[in-house]
Amino acid sequence: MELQEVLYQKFGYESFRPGQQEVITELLAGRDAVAIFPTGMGKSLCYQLPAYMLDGTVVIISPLVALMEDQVANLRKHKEKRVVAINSFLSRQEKELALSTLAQYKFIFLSPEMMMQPSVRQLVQQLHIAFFVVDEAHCISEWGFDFRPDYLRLKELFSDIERAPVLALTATANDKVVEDIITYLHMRNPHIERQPMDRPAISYSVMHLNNELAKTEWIIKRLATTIGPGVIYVASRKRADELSAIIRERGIPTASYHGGKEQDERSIIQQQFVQGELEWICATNAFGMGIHKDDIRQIIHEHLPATPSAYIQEVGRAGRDGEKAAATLLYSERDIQKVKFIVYEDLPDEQQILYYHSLLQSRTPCQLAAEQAGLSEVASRLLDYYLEQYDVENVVRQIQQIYQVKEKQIAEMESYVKSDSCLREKLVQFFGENTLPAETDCCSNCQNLDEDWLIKSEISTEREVEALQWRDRLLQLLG
Amino acid sequence: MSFDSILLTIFQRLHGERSAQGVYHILRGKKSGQTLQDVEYYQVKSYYALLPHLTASEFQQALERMQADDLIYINELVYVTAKGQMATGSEMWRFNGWNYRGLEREFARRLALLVQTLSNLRSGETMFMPIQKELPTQQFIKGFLRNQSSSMISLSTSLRKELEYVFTHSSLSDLQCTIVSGRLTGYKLTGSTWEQMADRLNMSVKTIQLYYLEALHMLLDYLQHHPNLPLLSELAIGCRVDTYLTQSAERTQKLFERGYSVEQIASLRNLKLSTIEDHFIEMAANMESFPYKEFITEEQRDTVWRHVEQLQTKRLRLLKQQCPELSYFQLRLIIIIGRRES
Ligand SMILES: [Zn+2]
Repeated sequence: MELQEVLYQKFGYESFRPGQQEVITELLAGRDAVAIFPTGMGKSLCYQLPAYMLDGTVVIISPLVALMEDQVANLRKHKEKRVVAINSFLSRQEKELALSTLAQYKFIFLSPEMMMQPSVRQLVQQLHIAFFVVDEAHCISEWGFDFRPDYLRLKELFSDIERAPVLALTATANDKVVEDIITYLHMRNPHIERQPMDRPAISYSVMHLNNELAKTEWIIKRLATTIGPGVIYVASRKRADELSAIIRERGIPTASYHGGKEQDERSIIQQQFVQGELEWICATNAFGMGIHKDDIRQIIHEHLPATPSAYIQEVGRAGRDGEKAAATLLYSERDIQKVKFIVYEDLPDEQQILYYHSLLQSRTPCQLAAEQAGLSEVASRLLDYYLEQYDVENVVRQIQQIYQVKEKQIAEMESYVKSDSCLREKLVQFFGENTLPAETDCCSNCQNLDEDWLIKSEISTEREVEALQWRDRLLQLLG
Repeated sequence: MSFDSILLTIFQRLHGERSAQGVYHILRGKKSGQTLQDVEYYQVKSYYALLPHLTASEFQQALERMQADDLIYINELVYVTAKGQMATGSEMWRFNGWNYRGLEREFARRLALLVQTLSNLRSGETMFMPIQKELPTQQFIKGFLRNQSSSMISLSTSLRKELEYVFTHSSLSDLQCTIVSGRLTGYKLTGSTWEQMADRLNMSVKTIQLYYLEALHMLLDYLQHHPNLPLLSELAIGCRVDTYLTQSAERTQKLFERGYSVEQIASLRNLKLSTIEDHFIEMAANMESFPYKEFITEEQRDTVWRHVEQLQTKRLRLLKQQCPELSYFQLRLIIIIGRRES
């Protein structure tokens, strides 16, 4: 079958998005590839489509359970039954069942820790594998914004001479990160497909405000006069709840979304947002993955994201339908301090490292040692990994390097909010790209924003969802 | 109905004989001998494992709030103040925590997924994001649908009829029908979050959640005794605790049924006599037809209960002083089986 035909029959699309066809062709030819596609620009299709043109299983290593579940759900939605996700959330029984029937699946999703379990690894290696996919591949690099030590262990996996091709996927990677991906995954002369970071549909603004109160007021006014659907990213769960209550009081359908909510609630909120029953979501960075909504018109950041990558990913959730969207970052002077505090909290300092190390030397159990040294869970996992590889002086040096990376990323964000030149240009430069300011609707510094399209028409007021009587509700649901 | 009033009810039943921690264990459904015995002694089985996810800090906050409001008084043990007694209210909950222990939530998840699936299929929509992400729930519903022979449209209508029937016949309040149906999602109609319901009904989130929980227990209780609702009954399979005895107690029970005495069982199983006695207490607590008359007379039962009422306590040590001729085992048994119906 022709590529185009499969695209239409399996996925219902008439044509490829930029870059997809190139990546797929490389994979089909048996070569490795790195695909750097901005969020929402059709990354997943790069492995889903060739899976149907090759014999054998596709093994996808994915670092986040939520992401994994979402991709599984998405495949099932497209009538694919031969798909399984194996992660630490499965019960022992479920895991055993999945592993004993591994060969019958076309798509196998694995978390890195599962993949590296010797028994699992052995079973996977017995399969006839079409190719491997490493999703969110930037996590393998300590230059990446969410480095995951687990991921580094994948190094061992792809060093075999005879192995199936590897496809590394990521939404964000500068040259340094790409270099790390290629080295650590033992990729052989891979094809690198980089889609531009710049999203012409999105316009960028930075608003300087005096304090948190001024931000709240700005948001209230903005939401009263401009259209959704939109997402407001905030710094904490508590703030998400608080702000969403404030907005709801103004009669605008809004909900908060964060990791502290029970799963049922999160499902309902996602569904309502996708269906258009909710206009705004106040969210922590837990929101985004797995939201399939093309018509998000606004992204507002009430806090300063810690890295340009995080910012560009969150902003990239807007305007996937290609229509105009607006990204606004609200900034006040103390935000830099706040974000530093949050970022460095998870990073051990020299004293902590030495103390932790000495505790381990005297055979204190890991968990206890971490507690005594005042390490967060993230920090102790990081240290455990490094201490396995290097002596303690080198570990200190490594951590200092990470510290410098994070410091640099925060400095980049600082230079972004304080810039007086084109924001679009500035943002993509952090990823080693160049772009020209857009002629219209570029950014607040280019001063060519025409926001008429954003203005709420007076007619769309108060569309209170009328509460159905329970009998009517059942009837409407089930007939 | 509020969380506080549930706590007050339990504290009152325990009338100052247990610590706050004990109540926390009851609500979370701790499977320790002490907790299991407490729920029997103080007749708070319906609250057992009512809130398996209750956090220590939530519980602590409630205690502090109630102390500040002068509803309870804590001095190691928890006492309900006169003001607290007034505030307890007389509403009768119909919780059945003992039988469901959190499993009612699985029933709710199955129902939500089945309604969403049928609602979409009958509208001709075959692609939708499942509202329930848990694999076991999804597998259950898949298996459930595979076993049905009627069309999706008629299945959907039958489910609606069953729901309407059970809502009206299981004495759910109108409010509870609204809450339960309001959580359901389907084709172009999404369920409400707790917050949204709280706004609309002008009640607190916690209160609505408790009404919801009670409604689930009532629905499941009804289904248990009315097998004429085939679809819902099938959804309820496995959502009720079916064996209440620990494994070890079950073995003791088998030997007892074969005619062995307490002492014989102890030596056969090579266990301490007190352990076997614990098993008998467990059996007495869980079996409606436990032959307690082999261990105590009705006269002894009446005497002990008279003392319980006079002394206003179920503390064994105090009762033993009154009835030195009875063993601790016999006293425990009498408390467990309760007073004689007059
Ligand atoms: Zn510009």
